[in-house]
Amino acid sequence: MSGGSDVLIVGGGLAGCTVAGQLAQAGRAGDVTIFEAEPEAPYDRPPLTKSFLASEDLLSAWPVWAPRDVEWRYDAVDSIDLARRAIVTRSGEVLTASTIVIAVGARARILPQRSDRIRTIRTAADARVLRDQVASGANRFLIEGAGPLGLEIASTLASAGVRVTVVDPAPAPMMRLLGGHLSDDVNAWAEESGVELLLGCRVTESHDTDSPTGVLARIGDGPLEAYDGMVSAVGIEANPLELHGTTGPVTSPILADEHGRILDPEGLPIDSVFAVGDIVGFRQPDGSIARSEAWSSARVQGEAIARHLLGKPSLQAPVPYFWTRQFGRMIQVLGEVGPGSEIKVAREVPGATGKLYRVARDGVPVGYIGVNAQRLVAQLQVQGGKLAHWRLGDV
Amino acid sequence: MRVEVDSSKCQGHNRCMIFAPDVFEVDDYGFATVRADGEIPPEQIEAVKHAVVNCPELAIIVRED
Repeated sequence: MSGGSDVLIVGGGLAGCTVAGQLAQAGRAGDVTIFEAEPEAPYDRPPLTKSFLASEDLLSAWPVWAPRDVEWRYDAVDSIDLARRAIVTRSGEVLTASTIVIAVGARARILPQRSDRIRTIRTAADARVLRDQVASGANRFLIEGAGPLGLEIASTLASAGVRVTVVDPAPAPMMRLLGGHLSDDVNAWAEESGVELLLGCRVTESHDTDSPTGVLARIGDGPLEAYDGMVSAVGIEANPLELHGTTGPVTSPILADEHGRILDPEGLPIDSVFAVGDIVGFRQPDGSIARSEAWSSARVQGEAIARHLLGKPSLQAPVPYFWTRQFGRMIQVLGEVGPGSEIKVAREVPGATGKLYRVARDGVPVGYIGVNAQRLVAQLQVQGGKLAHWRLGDV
Repeated sequence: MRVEVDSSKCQGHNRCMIFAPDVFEVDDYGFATVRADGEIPPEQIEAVKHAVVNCPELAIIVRED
């Protein structure tokens, strides 16, 4: 099969679809087969914690990034032989391909010793379950995890009149996204929306109650309290997939180079096997491994693989972008806003409450955070190139 | 080919303006609009397609006429 043109994509989420879609646009739709484990037409995930959770079924199936003209197979892939480029599907089929792209994505992580009643939001089915619970009268929820996902869910549920408590051991909300910055602001937004945000503590005990979804939980050394439901938003873990055919263990995240090629234990790219999306880590100049769960990152990575397969030159990766909408605010993060950086207000939106913050490390700008400051964020991004060279004077 | 932005969906991510700055601009509130009359010049078609699939709100509509 080597030298052939067939491309097998394992996973039909945004990342896998981006590779497939770019190949299809280049006239290669006939070469592409996508294996998707979820028995549902492709859909976009960001609305799941927002509009979709809040109200009617507005989820658009077949979003523009999902190609219809490639072959779709609704079957999970259980194992992949990276050396032979062979897959084994859940239904027992064995297939080989010239090129394999691993885009299996991740599932919600649940901390150990949690009741089976704990809900997550990763799929449309998950969001429907939670929405139905609220619709049938559940009005007191405990959310574990104060990352963007946990706070988006809290914000949406609070708007629906639900009493929400969010608990997280981190000292600040959205610690990984905001690096500890804007903690007072996020706390104030939560408070004004009636959401109780408990930081620096964790759920120490939880039991089922007699009601069908109810949970009794203890936070820190506080009393046991009753909730109508509990939601876990403590991050993700790679979907299970057995990989073999390398000379050593495959790491999690799967390490890949800038073209998305999977690296073997010696750090050399494995022939014609790629990985994309939440499951992939990239070695940084300082030796650390960076992984991104961002929507725009899945796009950028998918496009890099497609360009490599099509023999097109690589594009310069744009500055990382992440957003979250919660408590009536649009929060946009550009660049890397890690711990140990300094923040200051760079611009205020005239006549409104929006602000653009500049984040620097040792005096060098490393990121920007916009809160209801979309125009200012846009004016930075269109300057292109490296974030450190962006000029605020033009904003 | 014509392009428009569904203003009820646009949330000001501004990806379109980054990928196709000659076609899209952003208004005073941070929301995208199409420059000129929405007719896509042939040399901009690829950039517009790029913008379409990179819009997180799926707010860009391209119509073949």
